[in-house]
This record gives sequence, C-alpha cells and structure tokens, in this order.
Amino acid sequence: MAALSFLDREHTVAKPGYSRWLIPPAALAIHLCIGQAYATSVYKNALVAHFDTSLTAIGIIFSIAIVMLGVSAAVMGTWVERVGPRAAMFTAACFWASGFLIGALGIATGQLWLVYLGYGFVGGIGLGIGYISPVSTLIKWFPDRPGLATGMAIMGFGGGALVASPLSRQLMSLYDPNYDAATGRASGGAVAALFLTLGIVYFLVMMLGVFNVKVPAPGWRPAGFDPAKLRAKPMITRANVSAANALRTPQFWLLWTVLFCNVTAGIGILEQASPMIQDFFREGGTSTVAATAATAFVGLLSIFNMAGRFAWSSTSDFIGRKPTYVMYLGVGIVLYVLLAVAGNSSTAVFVLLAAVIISFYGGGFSTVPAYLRDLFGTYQVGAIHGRLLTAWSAAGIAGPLIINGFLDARGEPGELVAADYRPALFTMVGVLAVGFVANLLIRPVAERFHETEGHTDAFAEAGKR
Amino acid sequence: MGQTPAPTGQTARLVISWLVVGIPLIYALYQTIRSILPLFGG
Repeated sequence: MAALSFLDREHTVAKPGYSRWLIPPAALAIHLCIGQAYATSVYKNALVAHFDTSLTAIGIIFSIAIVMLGVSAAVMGTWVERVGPRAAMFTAACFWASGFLIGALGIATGQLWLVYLGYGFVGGIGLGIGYISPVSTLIKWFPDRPGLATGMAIMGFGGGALVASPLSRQLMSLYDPNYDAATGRASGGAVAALFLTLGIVYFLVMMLGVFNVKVPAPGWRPAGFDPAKLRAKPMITRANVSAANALRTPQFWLLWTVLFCNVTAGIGILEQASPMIQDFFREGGTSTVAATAATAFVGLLSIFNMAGRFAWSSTSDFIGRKPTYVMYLGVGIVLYVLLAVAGNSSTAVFVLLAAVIISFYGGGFSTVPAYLRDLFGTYQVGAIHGRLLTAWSAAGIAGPLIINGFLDARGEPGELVAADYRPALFTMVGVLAVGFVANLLIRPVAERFHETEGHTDAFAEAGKR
Repeated sequence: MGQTPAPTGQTARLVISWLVVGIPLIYALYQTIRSILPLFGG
C-alpha cells in the first residue's frame, strides 16, 4: 500500500545530520506505553467485581499477555529485523491499541473472553513486537555506548508501570464518582472508558516513536568514534552471527541461563514484596510494618527497578558486559544471603538489600541486548534478543513457583515470619550461583558460526571495515 | 561522518520528543515518591 510506504525500511534511512538523540525518545515512547502491562493490578479488583469472577480468572488476562510477549518476540524477531523499526513499531502500536479497544468492548458488554482475546492475545503480540522493535536500531546508532542506549529504552518499560498506575487511578476517579482508591473498586463502565482512553493515548504516543525512528546509513559512525578501540577488546566481536546460527552456539544458551537465573531470583522478591516486608517484621502475630508502608515499599522497588535498568546498563559500557553480570549474580548472592540471615535486623537494612537486588534484576534486562551485540554482532541482534526473551517467560513461571512453593509449605499467609523465607532465599542463592557459573563460561563465539562476507545487511558489512 | 549540519527544525523536534516522554516519567516519579513517604515516616 502506497499510503504506508513511509514505513518501509528504505524510507527510514536517516539523512546526514539526523540527531541520534531522537532515537532514545522514540524507543521510550514505545516502552513507556507497553510497560503498562505491569500496572494491571490497579483495575484488577474492579474487573473481579464487574465480571463477578475470581482473581485467578482476571489474572489470566495478564498471563496470556506475558506468554504472547515471549512467543511474539521469539517468532517475530527476524521479521522485525527485515522490515525495520518503523514498520515494527507501527505494528506494535496497532496491536497494543487494538488490544485495549477490544478489551474495552469486552468489559462494556460483559464478555470476559473478549478481554482475554483483546488485551491478552492481541495486546500481548503488540507487547512482544514493541519490546524488541527499537533494540537493534539503538545499538546501531550508539556503537560507542550500546548499554546506555538500551538502558534508556528498557528503563521505559519499568517506567511505563509507574506512569500507568497513578494515571489509571485518576482516570477511573474521573469516570466513576464512586471510585474507591483504597479497594480499587470502580464500575465496569469506568474501566471500559479507561481502556478506551489508554488505547487512544498509547496509540498517539507510540506514533511519536514511529515518526522519529530512523536507521543510520550504512557506514555511519558517531563523531569521534573509533571502531578499532572496540575491536581491541576480546569479548566484543566484529563478526556477525545470524539468529538461526546463534541458537546453535553455547554462548546463546549460557546467556539464556544467565538471564533466566537473574530474572527468577528477582521476580521471586518482586512478586512477594508487599507481604514479605510485613512478614519479616512480624512479632507475636502482628507486623510492625503497616499495610500502607508495605505498598509504599513496592513503589520504592519500582523506582530501583527502573533506575537499575539505566544506571547498570550504562555502567556496563565502561566495565564490560561479563563483569557487569559477575556483579549482578555474584554480589546478588551475597545480598540474598544477607537478606536471609540479617534482613529482619531493621527495616532500613531490609529495604536497602531488596532495593539493590531489584536494581540488579532491572539491570539484567537492559544490559542483555548489548551483551548480545558484543557476542553476535549487529546483523540480527534484535531477532536474537527476541529468542532470548523466552528466558523471561520461563523465569516468570519458575520464580513465583519457587517462592510460593516454599512459603505454602511453611504456613498460612499473614502468619509467616522471616525464618519461613530462608529456604526460598537460599534456593535463590543456588539459582544465582548457576547463573554466575554460566556467565563465567561465556567465551567469544567460534568462527564457524560467523556469517561470511556479503551474507549480512549493508550496515553489518560496513561495520566490518 | 556525523558532523553534517543538522536539518532545520531538529532542535524543536528534539525538545518536543524528550518532553513527550520526559513529562510522564517525571509525573510518575513524583507520584511514586509521594506514595513511598509513609515508609520513611513522612
């Protein structure tokens, strides 16, 4: 279609002088919108009451969306590389906004399956494509600082939930005068209107990303950047590996294990954060930490999750990707042990330890695209990243299973104490140790997996010279 | 490479683009910090 030809990759090659600093806000525009996926708890209770169903039935909406994120990122990665970032971002915006609109229709007509189909299935596809769409473009624009670039974008995913939570509360109170912020109860009509509003607003914001994103011309380099300096580092390759070949390398699966272990450990704490801080400071059946303070603790962790994505990923440009993961996993082991044995000594100690752990969790997400670039080159780094995100989906199941499995065996919610968390926390120490060893085993990719001259794209070919 | 003069209107585009993503982030940080004050007795 001629009207949509502006989406083609060849129409998105930047003219000389185009500022690369327009690319991070383009990526942020996408990630800030899709990050809403982590703010679904705001209207969860309202949907339970509206559909007269269980929390589990409503939780399935989120589960479908996250499964579709992993599946679409893995399956569509090569397509995203082929069509370019603008077409991918536009597609993501259409799916993500349509998910909200179909979901709104489902809520308005009382059809829960439509919400599963809309927000869960259709929106989930938008999540996956949107998540990986700007990554390889950012890496190409910032060959000198790939960690900084991907950190900025993926920070947006963490920030998206921070934006959506208060915004959704304010919109629901606008649409329903009887909205109760304490219980999260709003009328079905108010949640439908919220979905409609978010669908339209997110589509418009994502269009900012669509119109600003451009790919650099083959051979483009930032002023003052000397690729020879990068080539001198043994863990940074100048070769390129295709997505299909990457799956055949031990490096891909070692990095998959590293991401899986880092996310499993972090998700265990994130998922349990609010009851955990209350349980750690329970004396004689009563917690000294109030419910409001526990909710505030979750907010604090969200800030550290977001900040870690930017700060640690940027730091990795200076200290290297492998040492950065040595820190996430090695220091993480020490912090988990300290949390298990001394976390209940004071709330300040507990909060500090948990905050740093969660910053490492966030950093693990945002540093991994740059690690992939170092190992596999720029050619199909977005597609390889998409496949690696299956580790996230797997960790999303394993993390909560480990922590909930141990806690269920120790007692009832509301009666647990710090000692009940120790088996789960020491298990996470073991998980982190596996990731630590996997990271140490990562070496440069063997030459037989490298693409030969003329078998990659123009940008990757120019980068070799 | 990378030292060609910037296209006209690029500064305005840069400012607007960063504002569109920066304002919601600042709003989110403000709201979250306000909500975590009880944790520190605020």
